[in-house]
Amino acid sequence: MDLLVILNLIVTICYYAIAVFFAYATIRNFIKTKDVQRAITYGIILIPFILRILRLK
Amino acid sequence: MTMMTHSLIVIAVIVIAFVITKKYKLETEISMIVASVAAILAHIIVPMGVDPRSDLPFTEIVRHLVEGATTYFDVCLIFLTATFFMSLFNESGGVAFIVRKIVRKFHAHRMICLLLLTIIMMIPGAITGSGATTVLTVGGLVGAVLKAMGVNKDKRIALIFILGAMSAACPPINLWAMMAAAGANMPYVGFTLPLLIVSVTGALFASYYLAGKGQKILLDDALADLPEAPEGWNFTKALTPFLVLIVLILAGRYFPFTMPTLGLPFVFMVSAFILYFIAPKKVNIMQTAMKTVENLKGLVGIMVAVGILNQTMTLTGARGLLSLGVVKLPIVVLFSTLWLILPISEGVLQYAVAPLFGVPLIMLFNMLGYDPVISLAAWSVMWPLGDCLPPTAVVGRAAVLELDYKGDYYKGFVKSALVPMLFILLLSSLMMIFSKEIGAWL
Repeated sequence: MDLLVILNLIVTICYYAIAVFFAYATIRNFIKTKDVQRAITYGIILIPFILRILRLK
Repeated sequence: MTMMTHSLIVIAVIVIAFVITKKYKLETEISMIVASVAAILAHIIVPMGVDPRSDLPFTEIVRHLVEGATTYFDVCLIFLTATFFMSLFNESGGVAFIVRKIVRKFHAHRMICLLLLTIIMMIPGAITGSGATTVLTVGGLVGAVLKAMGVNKDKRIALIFILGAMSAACPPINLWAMMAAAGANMPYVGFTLPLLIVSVTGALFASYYLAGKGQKILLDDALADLPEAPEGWNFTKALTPFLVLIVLILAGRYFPFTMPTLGLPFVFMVSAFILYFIAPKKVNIMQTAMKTVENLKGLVGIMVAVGILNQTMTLTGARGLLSLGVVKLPIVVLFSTLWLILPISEGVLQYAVAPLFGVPLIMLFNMLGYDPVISLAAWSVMWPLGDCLPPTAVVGRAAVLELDYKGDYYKGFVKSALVPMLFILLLSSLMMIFSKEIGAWL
């Protein structure tokens, strides 16, 4: 496989790792918060991350 | 009922839902999502007249809401990674190290010290696109130096806010320009110079107007107010992550066929990774990430909500009607009111104003022969000035919080910021009016 293709593949995998990292931080904040509005906001933020991680979008 | 009446009713429903939810003190992002759901319900209930489209099944409603949530995912990632990088730098003591060095070296030269503090304030917002990030990372430290320079509390908070706003407008990342350009299918190219000229001029004017005069900096007092930088920091360590950042960004531009496509989030994470290993003080990465998400929850939430609202408005025809309304406005009316409309709308809708009003404005200005890139750059400097206005006032509130400001919000803070704000608005308006000439010159 071409080197550039391999490198781009690695970068793509890294992007999934970045998405998982921030999704995990958001979930931890979601669990920690006692404020309903904050919890809803964290839930809203999680939508695109979950879609991305599950490769739905 | 015509499609126009249908869309008009949908817009009215969005406004009513937004106003009611705001009245019950719901966060802006939640209000926007409630308004989106209300708009879809109105779209289903209100007849569409001669419009031949089929009914909207439940799965389609869910699809539009979910699909809209991912519209600005790339921008959200840039936002999060850049702020994570800046937070890591701040918590490792890098910012304190640089600010202490500047104060120690230039305390006798007020003008140079102000210039360097302005640059320090511009960097976080320029690379993250967020004025709140600037205020939350370096606002407190610069505020402490301004206090030692004899700048009164009203002018201090006004300056921190304006520098926060101008840093957000400063290239390379200007979210308003990016979102509006993306909405108009226009590449985010050619914005660097016009954005840089107006934002830096505005920031420097504000710095020298608000803090140009005052007592001589008392070095001991200034250093006592600043947090100690951890042992082991030096300029090589402090500048290396930024150097990596710049090199990786430029490498992609200069060697597009030999460099893999890295993207800004990846570049920020690589820089953060390097920063973590060279910083003398090790911080808890997960705690920093959680704090980053907490600080940005409002802004990232708004981005997701704006995407949903945008998708909904496009689906229901409301966005088209709004665009049509803007495009039909006489240019004289726009020139004489945009300097007021843009900051106020930013205060209400935050980043949502860029795709909602920016896109039709781009179409209109392009149609009338004005330079759309220069014009959009001008609006993108005007918008962040509204970040001290209600109901959101994100950057204004962050500045109040960070500087522990106890004065009157409007009579103290906003009043002190008025002259620099008017100067920036005038500069941006002139750039918009003479966009064609400036575009040809740049």
